[in-house]
Amino acid sequence: MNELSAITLAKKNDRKGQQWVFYTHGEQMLVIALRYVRDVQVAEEMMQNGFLKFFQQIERFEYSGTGSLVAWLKKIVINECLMHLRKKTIFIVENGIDSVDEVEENNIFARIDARDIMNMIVALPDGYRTVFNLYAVEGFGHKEISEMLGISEGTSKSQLSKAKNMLREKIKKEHLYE
Amino acid sequence: MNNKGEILKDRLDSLSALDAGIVYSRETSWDKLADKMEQKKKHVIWPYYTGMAAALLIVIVFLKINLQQQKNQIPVVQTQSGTKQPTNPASAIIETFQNQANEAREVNDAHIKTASSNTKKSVSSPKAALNGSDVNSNIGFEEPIINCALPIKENFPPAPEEPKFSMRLKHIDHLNDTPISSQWQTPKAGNVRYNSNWVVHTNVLKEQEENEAFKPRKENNSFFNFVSAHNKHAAQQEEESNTNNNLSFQILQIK
Repeated sequence: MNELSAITLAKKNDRKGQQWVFYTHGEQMLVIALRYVRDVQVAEEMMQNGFLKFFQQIERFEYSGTGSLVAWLKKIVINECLMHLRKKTIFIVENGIDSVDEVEENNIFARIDARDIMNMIVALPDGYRTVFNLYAVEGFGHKEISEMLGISEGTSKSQLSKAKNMLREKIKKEHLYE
Repeated sequence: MNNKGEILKDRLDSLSALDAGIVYSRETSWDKLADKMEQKKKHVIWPYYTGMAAALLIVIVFLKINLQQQKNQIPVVQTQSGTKQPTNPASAIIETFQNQANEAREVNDAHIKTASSNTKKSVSSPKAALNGSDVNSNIGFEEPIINCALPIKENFPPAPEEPKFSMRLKHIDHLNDTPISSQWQTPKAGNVRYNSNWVVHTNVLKEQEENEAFKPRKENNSFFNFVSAHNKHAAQQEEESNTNNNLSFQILQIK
């Protein structure tokens, strides 16, 4: 069974098609959810809710090649996580934005193991982690992030700056990069 | 998306659950998801059926109201002589209910009579009378109604009943009547009529032709006793006059 036939079956509310989609992309979506939500059980719940919504709204999805399904699923799962975080996360406005050279930062992350990066990101506070994920990983701008989270652009920039500083200190402390 | 984001994203997306330090069983997770989907279906089905039932109920109520309205609109249109029609259904319904309420109020007003403390109820009873002026006689007891101002809906005394006589009228023979030959022959009652003015024909009663079977009933009845006495008296007078006429006839013949 390939991705297209699985989606075709899932559109007919066929359990085998739905199962194939879930088995193929479930784990990846769980890891994405875990980047936003620290708790594994909550992350799994967000991932399942994302798939549930996907299967309910699958008629609106149009398959357009490899990667389109993952992109669609990822968007849904991230939205689920953000909805969950919006209920409980308080984004504190902090003064002072440290300017970090993005080229230098890019080199640092390129040399660090992905698992260490993941652990460092998960260890960040909710507000820092969310903004860092949306800006540094997903590539959204501050304006988009402010709209998505219902905060000001200044708050988004502040949260990102504090998240980077925290990561830098951690990298130095654990001698991950010298 | 900037260059840094893409590098980081690719590296993070390449992580498996095990790399991220998660013990993940896709079968268990799928079972949970399947349960959630089943529950969602049930939640979707329930509102569907309840919605259908509610819609059906609304339709039934609407049809009933519509039928009632159609029934009530006919007299309304007739009373308004067809010149004025209700502008909308709501006003028609209100108008119909108002008409019904007014009619009900009129009927109640017609029947309700408030009893004052002075009102007395007299009950008439049948009484046999000889003269017409005595027919409408009262027994003579008056029953005061309760001294209260509450409306009494049924304040009508029972209609006075016509006198009922449970006996047969006395048979009086006319001159041309055929004589009663047996005791089973029914006597004729057509020559006695009771009315406001009593008329009793003066034919002579023949005691020997009376039906013996009716005697006990007649003796117990005052009316029959009276008629019998009256007829006896009339017969005696006629007998006397006949004897007088015979005597005078004999005297004339002697002369």
